Amino acid sequence: MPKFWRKVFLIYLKDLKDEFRTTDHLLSTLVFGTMLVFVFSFALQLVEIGTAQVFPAVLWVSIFFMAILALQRSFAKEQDNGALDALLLASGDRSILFYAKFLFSLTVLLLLEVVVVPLLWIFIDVAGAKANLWFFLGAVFLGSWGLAAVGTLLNGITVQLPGARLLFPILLFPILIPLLLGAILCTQGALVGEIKAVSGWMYLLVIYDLLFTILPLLLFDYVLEG
Amino acid sequence: MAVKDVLVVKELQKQLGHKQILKNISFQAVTGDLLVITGPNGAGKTTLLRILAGLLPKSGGEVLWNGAELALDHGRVGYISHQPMLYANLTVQENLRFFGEMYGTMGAERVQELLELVGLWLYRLEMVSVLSRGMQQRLAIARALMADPTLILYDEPFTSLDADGREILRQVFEQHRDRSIQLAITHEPQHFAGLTYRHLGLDGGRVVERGYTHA
Amino acid sequence: MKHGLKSPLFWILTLIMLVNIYVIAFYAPVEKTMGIVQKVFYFHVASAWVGLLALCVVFAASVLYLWKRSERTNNLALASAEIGTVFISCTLLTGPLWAYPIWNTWWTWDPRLTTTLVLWFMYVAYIALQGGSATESRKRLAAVYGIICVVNVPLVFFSTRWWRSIHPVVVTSEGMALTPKMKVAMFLSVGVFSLLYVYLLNIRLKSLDLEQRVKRLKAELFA
Repeated sequence: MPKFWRKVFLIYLKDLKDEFRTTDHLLSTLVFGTMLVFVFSFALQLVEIGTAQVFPAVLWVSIFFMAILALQRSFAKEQDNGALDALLLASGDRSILFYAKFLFSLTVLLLLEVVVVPLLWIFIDVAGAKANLWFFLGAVFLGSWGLAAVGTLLNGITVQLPGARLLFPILLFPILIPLLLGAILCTQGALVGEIKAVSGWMYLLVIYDLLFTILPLLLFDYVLEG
Repeated sequence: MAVKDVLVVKELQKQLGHKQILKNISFQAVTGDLLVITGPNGAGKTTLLRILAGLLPKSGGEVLWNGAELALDHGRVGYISHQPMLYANLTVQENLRFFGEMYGTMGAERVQELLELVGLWLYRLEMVSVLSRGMQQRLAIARALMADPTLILYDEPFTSLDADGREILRQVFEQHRDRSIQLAITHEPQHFAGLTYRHLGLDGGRVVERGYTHA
Repeated sequence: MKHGLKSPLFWILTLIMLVNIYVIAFYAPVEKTMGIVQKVFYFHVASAWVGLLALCVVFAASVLYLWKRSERTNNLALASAEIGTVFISCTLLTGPLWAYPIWNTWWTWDPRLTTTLVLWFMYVAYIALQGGSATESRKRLAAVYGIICVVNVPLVFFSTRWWRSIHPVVVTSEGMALTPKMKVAMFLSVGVFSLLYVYLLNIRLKSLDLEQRVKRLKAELFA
């Protein structure tokens, strides 16, 4: 088992190094996320409903859209000149790849959110007096966790279909509905400081995250089989 | 080398949909063997190699490594494909180190030794993306040897190698006889002239020719 | 087996469906408060039932495909998903027909409605993943996605239900007390729609089989 996680960690470090060496993709995604947040806030401002009430919904829809770009990266970098095969041989276990790519995707998502979330907070002018910040961060973290897990699993699928990039969001979104629900309601509860009422949704997020973190152990061998 | 590894392929079959890519392939090899596999396009050569590597599941038959089912977790398979299978944004050295750490065969001397063997020591700090295709292929050879392999699979390894590169590859064949079973797919058997090797001709998913060439 | 108009099954099924329509129209009583519009309910429930049944078949066939790798199990999964999509579409279309006069709205975020819509999206995504070019990898990946979808359905349903039970429920689709005659009509509809599903599935399986045979023959011809 330690060998398993050692390999996961090695691939994770390799991916981070690779990603930060040419930051063009990361930067483009960040710029896209920033624009999304701006466009949403601006559009809502025009019809004068740019109040804090819409913050949870706008936040998660923005994160979802940003994730489409961010999550497609994990396996794409292996595909460039066939490195996936070499990596599989060196791993000896396809699940190792899933967990490494999952951690990588989660890291990238969280990094993007560090910029995008505060920006949206400012744009929409959330009155955070009553907000429970820890609960809010917990919701963002658990939501991103689930997003990264499902995204990695499905990216493993779509990356094998060259020319079918569009399929990724189409496969992704229906699966994310329970996560969207839980994350938005948790965020809402955190903002108004009524966390007791929504703590159940936190459990839903945890269950969802665990499910899609463990399910790949069974399925990923089939995903990366060819 | 006291103990020899034995690879037994028995009635191996691979079906993709209705297409039978491999029909009943059988052969054996022991450490020291170099098998050169030839055949026309679509004969099933690459499929065979990918199954032996554990990358592709088989549909029937047996692939045994010292009597046990050969799978992806074999851990000491060197695989050289017609694609370099490297990370373009990492340096030459970082690529080798990464794979060395993954295989647990890390060692600065090992990296240096291999880079000198393939003639890339001077380029060790360059990104793979700036290397020529031939240089990438050389690095791919070094990467595969990083596994300290007991089974080496070459898929058209001479692709884009210059005369020097081809000579290096022939050295690799010779040097690894004492510890590995080696299988090579090629369209150009003339590159193997002067080497001792066994020959396997594939066509339509069957072995149609077997031979032995002694240097 | 014979096809189309020559097939006895076709005529038997047609007859049963006519009986079903008669039962719905004349045997089942008109609902007191909702009136004639309630009749759409028999079609609505029956197609929703087939949509779920088809999903179960997709799941079973996907698991079987990953295990056996036979083209037939993949065909079964694909055909079932296609027919399931049609029936789920019927559910989604007949729902508002009934909802507008009764609830005074075309759509409401009831857990069942939401789940059905998500189910429709998943069906469509699944079919898109299968794609036109039925390569081996597409079939395998679609099977994996089929399994993921089925695992997701209960999550969607329970989370949406929980969401609605925390919030005040404005309208509910509960409390539709059925008289015995209505029950007869409903169960008959469910049965007949299931038969229709099996019949359509059979046809689609045959056509997929033929498609693949043509492909194989062409490959042999050009080889």
